[in-house]
Amino acid sequence: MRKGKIHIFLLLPFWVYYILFFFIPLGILLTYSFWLTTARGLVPTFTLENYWAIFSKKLYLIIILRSIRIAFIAAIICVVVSYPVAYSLTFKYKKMQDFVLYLILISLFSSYLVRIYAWKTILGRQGLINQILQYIGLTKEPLSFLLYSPTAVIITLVFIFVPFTILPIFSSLQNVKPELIEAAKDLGANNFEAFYKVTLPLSMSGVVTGFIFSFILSAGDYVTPQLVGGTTGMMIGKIIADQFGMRYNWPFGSALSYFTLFLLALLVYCLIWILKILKLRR
Amino acid sequence: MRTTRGKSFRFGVLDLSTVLIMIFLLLPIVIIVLFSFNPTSATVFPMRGFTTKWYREVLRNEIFISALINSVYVGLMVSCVSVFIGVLASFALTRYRFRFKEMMSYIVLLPITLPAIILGISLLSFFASVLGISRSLLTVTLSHVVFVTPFVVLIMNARLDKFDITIEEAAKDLGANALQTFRYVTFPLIRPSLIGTMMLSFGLSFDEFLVTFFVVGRKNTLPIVIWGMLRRGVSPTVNVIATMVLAISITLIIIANRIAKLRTLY
Amino acid sequence: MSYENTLLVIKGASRSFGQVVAVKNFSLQVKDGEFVCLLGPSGCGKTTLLRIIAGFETLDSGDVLMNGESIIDLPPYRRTMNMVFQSYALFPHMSVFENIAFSQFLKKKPKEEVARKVRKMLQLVQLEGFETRGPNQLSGGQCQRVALARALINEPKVLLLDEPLGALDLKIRKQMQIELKNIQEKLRITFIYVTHDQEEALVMSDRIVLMNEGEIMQVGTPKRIYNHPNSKFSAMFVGENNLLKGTVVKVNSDCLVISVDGLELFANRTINVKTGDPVTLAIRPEKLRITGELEGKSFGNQIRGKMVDAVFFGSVVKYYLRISENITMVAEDRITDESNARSIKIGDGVTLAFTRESLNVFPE
Ligand SMILES: Nc1ncnc2c1ncn2[C@@H]1O[C@H](COP(=O)(O)OP(=O)(O)OP(=O)(O)O)[C@@H](O)[C@H]1O
Ligand SMILES: [Mg+2]
Repeated sequence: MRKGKIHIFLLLPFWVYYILFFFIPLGILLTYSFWLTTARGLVPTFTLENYWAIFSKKLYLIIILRSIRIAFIAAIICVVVSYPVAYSLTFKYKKMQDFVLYLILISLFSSYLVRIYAWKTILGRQGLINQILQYIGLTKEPLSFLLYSPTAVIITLVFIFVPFTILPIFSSLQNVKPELIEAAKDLGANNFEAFYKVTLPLSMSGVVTGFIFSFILSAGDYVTPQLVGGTTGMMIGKIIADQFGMRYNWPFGSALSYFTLFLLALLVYCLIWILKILKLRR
Repeated sequence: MRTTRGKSFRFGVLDLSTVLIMIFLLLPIVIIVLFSFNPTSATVFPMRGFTTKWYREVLRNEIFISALINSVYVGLMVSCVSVFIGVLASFALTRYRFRFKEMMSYIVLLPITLPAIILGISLLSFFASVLGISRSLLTVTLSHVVFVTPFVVLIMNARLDKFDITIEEAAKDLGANALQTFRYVTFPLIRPSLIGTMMLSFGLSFDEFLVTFFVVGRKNTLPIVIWGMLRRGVSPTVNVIATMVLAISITLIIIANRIAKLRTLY
Repeated sequence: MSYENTLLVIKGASRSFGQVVAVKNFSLQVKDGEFVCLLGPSGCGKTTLLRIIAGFETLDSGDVLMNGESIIDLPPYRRTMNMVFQSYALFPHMSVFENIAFSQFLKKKPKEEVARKVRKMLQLVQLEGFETRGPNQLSGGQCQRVALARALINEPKVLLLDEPLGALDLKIRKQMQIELKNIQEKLRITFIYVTHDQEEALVMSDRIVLMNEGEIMQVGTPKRIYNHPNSKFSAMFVGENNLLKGTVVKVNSDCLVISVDGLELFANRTINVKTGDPVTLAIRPEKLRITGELEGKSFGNQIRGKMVDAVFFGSVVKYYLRISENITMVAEDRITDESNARSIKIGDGVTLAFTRESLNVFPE
């Protein structure tokens, strides 16, 4: 580690770019949320009207809460299904590790939009799942709730974003040396205790990162709900997008964004806080 | 006696869930590839035969070709700019001590903890109202760099944290000045990671839709064109495009792997 | 030490990291062609000092001179010395040949000359035929040789070695110690050699610099340091010693009489003390002679003791002898031939005899 002033030059391009294309735009968006849209166009003032407008219709609150719920469930499922994959990749299938990681990367690199679309065809009335269910005789009629429902949104979000949880969990599991687990077992821990007391705490950072990734990505997705969500699966992203598209009410869209962002940040913060407390008690 | 090593193989819950998840992860991709050869336009099982006519149609489609070129152009620009910014920042974060360093390493990651839609609309507001820049491939490029750079920093930090500084010291000790040390020692050693980050940057940019949607101008990128197709109704050409993109990215990954393992000096 | 052939001078060098003082007012002169060992426990500042000399660490105060000129403002690549790193620090992306040739490559030497020099170096470190291998295809000992060749090809005036044999197993370490010493004698290059292994320091060096907590504790030839430690630290760190606490009861013109737990011992008067001063005594196990009964006065000191244990170490046997209520001493006896093995049994009473010279005295 060196001291000196070189780091300033190294960080200069970064700061210039981020201030110009990240912080200023966010500031502008925040400013917009205090302006008004009238028949004659945008009026620069300072008013909280746009924020009150969120509470004026029940619909907005319902959709915001639904979005957060869907994103939360999707993120939980993402973590729950990623952990076994990352775990077995690390400790069980050492030889296949590269190959499987490669497959995960490929799924990440293949078109996001078309993958959502593929899920639509898998979940549809005539889709793969319904056909299989009918073929093996579990159902007579095709299940219609599979598509155009919150369930469809959750399933799709999970499989679109699961690479974003597998990879951080995998990399945090690299810190868990097999000797540590063996030492724990040697000291009398059973399999579950060894996992709960050693493996899990050491990989917690990856779990948290993965959760936050999939949670934020899901909450901000406005394509998946549009393609597979139907009316009951509508999410806030679509409404915000509309304010910047057809509706042309930027101030309201900005207020919606900041309100949602505030809720998301609050939730993530609480979650990290709870984890910290749990760790202290352990 | 409890044995932890050399346990005989049992196919348990862990394996089952792993296999299932991998299947579900790859299932859509398999479907996309298969149905790109389906003669009818409905994506209904079973397939009705095998044809390459959609491929020929896509290759004749000018909208597709120009969108592809646009996306490649944007992807290249984005990977150059974000790798430049990100690698320098990563060197600062891993090699130097300074105040607020800890905070800095969080700030770097902010753009990827922000929902894409909010990044998209804030950039839209910025370009449209303040700069008065008309939307174009330039605005797309500028926007992509914002969320690609954090990934570059993440990967490079991981690489540089592992980098054994004494190797650089050995070079200096043997008579290399700062520039020579970088050229003959540091650069060759981080080159695989550099190529990796360039690939990733390109890939992230190439496939980006959520932000691009708001900042794209008259010239479209590939995801925007695909989105249009999806909205207009299903056509196997979408599957064809996705398959071709997949093939290209797999090839690129393999090539990059090869380049990464070159030798130096004499 | 004659002034003319002094090569490297370190003057009052100090360096701290926050609260930790790594090197404290360190001064040393190194002669041309000398083999100097920096010896000390882990964390005493050896690496830091070496890095200061090499130019990787800055000084808080003090100076480093080479041939009478200060070099502290020179960057590492301008100093006429080279370093062998503890972790070898071989370039992982280069072959053995490229690693060794690196400095010559930077100097833009013609290819044939470089190839010839590399071949000579490989011969010196006995690695002929390894040119095209990569560092990850070498054993620890071979890596060590490459690191050495890579540093030596530059013909440095001073070679700095940071625990170069630390990662090797005992057998290869012993072998490399001899090889390194031979190479140093052949090339007549000044070696500054860091180690925390006292035996290594004793075997290899012309001069040992014993360090503790960033400071010099004692400087001297291996013989001097071994036979005449100047402090409790030196006595404890180099070799094995019996340490006894005592009080001076009488100061004669040439000898001291010291009382240890009621026993009276005689020592040469090497330090200035007064009657009543507390002192520490040190005596090496091999300087203790075990005899069955009291002998003549030739030894100067004789104590009665009882054998409590005997441990067999192959070529030597260590006897643990209780000489008073609280004091047990260790005596070492070399077995030259099975028949001369002693027939003392545990519990037997014995006499310990040792000379006045072999007893080292330090103030408490
Ligand atoms: N870059 C640094 N930052 C902070 N403290 C340091 C740094 N380098 C060394 N130290 C401290 O300085 C002291 C001396 O360290 P040094 O590495 O010189 O010891 P050493 O004698 O080489 O030990 P060892 O035999 O274990 O290698 C130690 O207490 C160490 O913690
Ligand atoms: Mg050291």
